[in-house]
Amino acid sequence: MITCYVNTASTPGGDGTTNATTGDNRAYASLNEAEAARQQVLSEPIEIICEGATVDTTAVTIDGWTTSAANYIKIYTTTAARHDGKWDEGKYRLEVNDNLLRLYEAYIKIDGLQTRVTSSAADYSALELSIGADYNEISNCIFRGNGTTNGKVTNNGGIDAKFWNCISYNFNSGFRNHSGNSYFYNCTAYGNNIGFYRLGGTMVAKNNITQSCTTGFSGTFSSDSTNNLSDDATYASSTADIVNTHVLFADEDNDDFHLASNDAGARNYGIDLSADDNLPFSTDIDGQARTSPWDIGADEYVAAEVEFIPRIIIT
Amino acid sequence: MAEFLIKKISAINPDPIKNESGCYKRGDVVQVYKDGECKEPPSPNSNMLIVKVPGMTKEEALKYTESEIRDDGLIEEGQPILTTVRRRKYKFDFSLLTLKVNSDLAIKREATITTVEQAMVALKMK
Repeated sequence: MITCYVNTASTPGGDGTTNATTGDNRAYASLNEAEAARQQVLSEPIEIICEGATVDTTAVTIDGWTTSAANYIKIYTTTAARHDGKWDEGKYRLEVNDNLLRLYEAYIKIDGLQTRVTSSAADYSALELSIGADYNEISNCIFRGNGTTNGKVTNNGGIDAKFWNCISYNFNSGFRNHSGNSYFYNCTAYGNNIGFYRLGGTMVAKNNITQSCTTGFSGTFSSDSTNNLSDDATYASSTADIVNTHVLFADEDNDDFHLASNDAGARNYGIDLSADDNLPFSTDIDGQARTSPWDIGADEYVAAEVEFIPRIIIT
Repeated sequence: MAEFLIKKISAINPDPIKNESGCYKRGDVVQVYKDGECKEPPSPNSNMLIVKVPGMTKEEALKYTESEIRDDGLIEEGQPILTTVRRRKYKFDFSLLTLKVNSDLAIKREATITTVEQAMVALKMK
């Protein structure tokens, strides 16, 4: 396994072998620099660890590599550098007024990133899987747009694109399958023009929430879709989805889409996907274990632990 | 001042189309920065060089990070379908830089080009 580091507190020209911010072994200063520096025919997997509270402002295209199932690219944030299920300006994030993160290669795993398209003046993608971007896995990410006129998270031709525990808000299309085939499990779409949009290809949707979108689900979804929830009358499965149901989030005015303790819409209405044939997983966007019955959406509600302090009275 | 992060050694892909459209080649500008952001020279193990150009702004330099795009006139959802032909449209042609700049790049992996005009001579469209 090759390991290299991005730290936005570093300066350009490091060799990326540590997360230091100075010296010859300093981290790459941006994900774009890491991609350019490490572009290669992989003979072992590579992990690119992203850190730093300073925003990364350069768009990233992953192209020109040779990957395989065994020799994949994994881009992720450590626990310390990762959001806690809500957009966090103090953690690693990509913010660009452009197409932000474009994948042209197969076998890429993206885990725990925050990406934000800062303008809706053009139809930029916060994440785009192009033709050839097959078997990519996108988990625990937050995608943020800047208005419903434009912008999207889209699979534009990848085979077996898998998304789980992701949040997408303030786009034209929250999550979209243009062509190819994709699995969207336990994702939350909020405040988009369309929450989940099957424009073409095959889109399997399970345990997803769409709220406050002009249209929750649009298009014909795979018949394998199930247990989705919308606050309008649209659905991915006519028989197994919940419609016209409002979800209570922890603080939706401040983009906190964790489930509230008093939510009765999404909590316990999901299907257990821990043994799913195509995409088994068992945690939520916070890394917390999902427990049966599962919740719908990116978050699994877990009650805060209460500390009991024993009180001894000596008489 | 604009500061250019430049690929030192070409990446190679066995697929000839991907090699052209996806791989950074020697002299390609990976990223540009404004004055003072490149605080240290590239690591000896790095695959990058840094060239600083006083008198050129980051905004002016950004053009050299553009890809070469082909527009076949196809439209989808109101948007043109564009194909990337080369990862970068421009490159630094080191042979057109002065001996001093080349010497600095070889030894320190970092150099300053004293005038914008001199930089423009070396920044060539492929």
